[in-house]
Amino acid sequence: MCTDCGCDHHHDHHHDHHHPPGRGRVITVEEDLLAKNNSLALANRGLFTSRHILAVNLLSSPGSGKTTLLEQTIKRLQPDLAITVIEGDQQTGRDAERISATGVPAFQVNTGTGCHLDAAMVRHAYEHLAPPADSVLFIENVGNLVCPAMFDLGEQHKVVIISVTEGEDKPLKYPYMFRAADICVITKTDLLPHLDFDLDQCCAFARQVNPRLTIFQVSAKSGAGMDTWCAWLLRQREAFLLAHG
Amino acid sequence: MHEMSLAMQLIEIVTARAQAADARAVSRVEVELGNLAGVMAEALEFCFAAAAKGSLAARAELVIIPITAQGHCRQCAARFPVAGLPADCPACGKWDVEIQGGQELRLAAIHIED
Repeated sequence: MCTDCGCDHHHDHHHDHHHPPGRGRVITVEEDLLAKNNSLALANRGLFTSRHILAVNLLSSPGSGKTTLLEQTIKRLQPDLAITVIEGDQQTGRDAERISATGVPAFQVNTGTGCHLDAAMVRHAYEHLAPPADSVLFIENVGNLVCPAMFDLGEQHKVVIISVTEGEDKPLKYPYMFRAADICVITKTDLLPHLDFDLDQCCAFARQVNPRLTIFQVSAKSGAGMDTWCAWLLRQREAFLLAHG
Repeated sequence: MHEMSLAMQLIEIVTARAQAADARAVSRVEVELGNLAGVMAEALEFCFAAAAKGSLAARAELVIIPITAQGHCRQCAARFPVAGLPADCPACGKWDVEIQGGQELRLAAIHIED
């Protein structure tokens, strides 16, 4: 609603009435509203790159199995690889405790009422964690398929995770996230025999939204697909080191 | 509700620019918003009013200038406006579409009173 006259606001509505008297001026600004976050993310990316830290941002709905996937990924990649984890949740340190139990350092960020991690929060967590050079930094974002899509954290990869207990049409319902990600991991595939989830249809929907998406199918519980997923991570790290080493 | 943090960011930039220009108040704030930016115009308007309270922009009108994304089909090279995601090519029906623009979320200009 228009604050000047209380009219219903239309975007092409021009106000040529009731503006307060006095000399007015127009100042051209042309500044991105996400500029502050984007410049902090750029600084994070520079820092990570200079220290050869591969940062991977994990994004999904609550309950898709992000933390379990992470636990099992860590178990397979340790001890060959130095890993640290930033955990994002509105409340509690439960996920950081679960990750710490695997033996890798974890730092919990609580966003309170906030619905996403931003670049400043990640930088703060990074300073606390002090990840070693040549390591992999996983950032488990707040469970939310909407807001975190907009906020660059300085990561190298955005991985969107969907479990087979969700609807196969989730990529169509939350297209911004599936468009922003470069990787999709479909989890809990051990449950497929008990569900009507159409895996091929889910992949087709995801590729409609983002034709360039790379898709993995895993079960952290049975281990199916985990070798392929972990091998991909190791390849990314090698390519990252080659490019920036 | 990321619109609230965006509205607060918007007010921060508006206030800084207005103060730098020795403005008495801000009467109008113009924001360019892409249709694929993931931001609801109505939610941004609602949050803007809340975030502007007590600031130089407290009485400012928020004008949202909509921008439509443009699609370019990698298969048949057709060009077309993209109304939303997912985007298929209206000419050949394929989904292999490169999208340009539509992500804009930019403070274009402010009108100030001296």
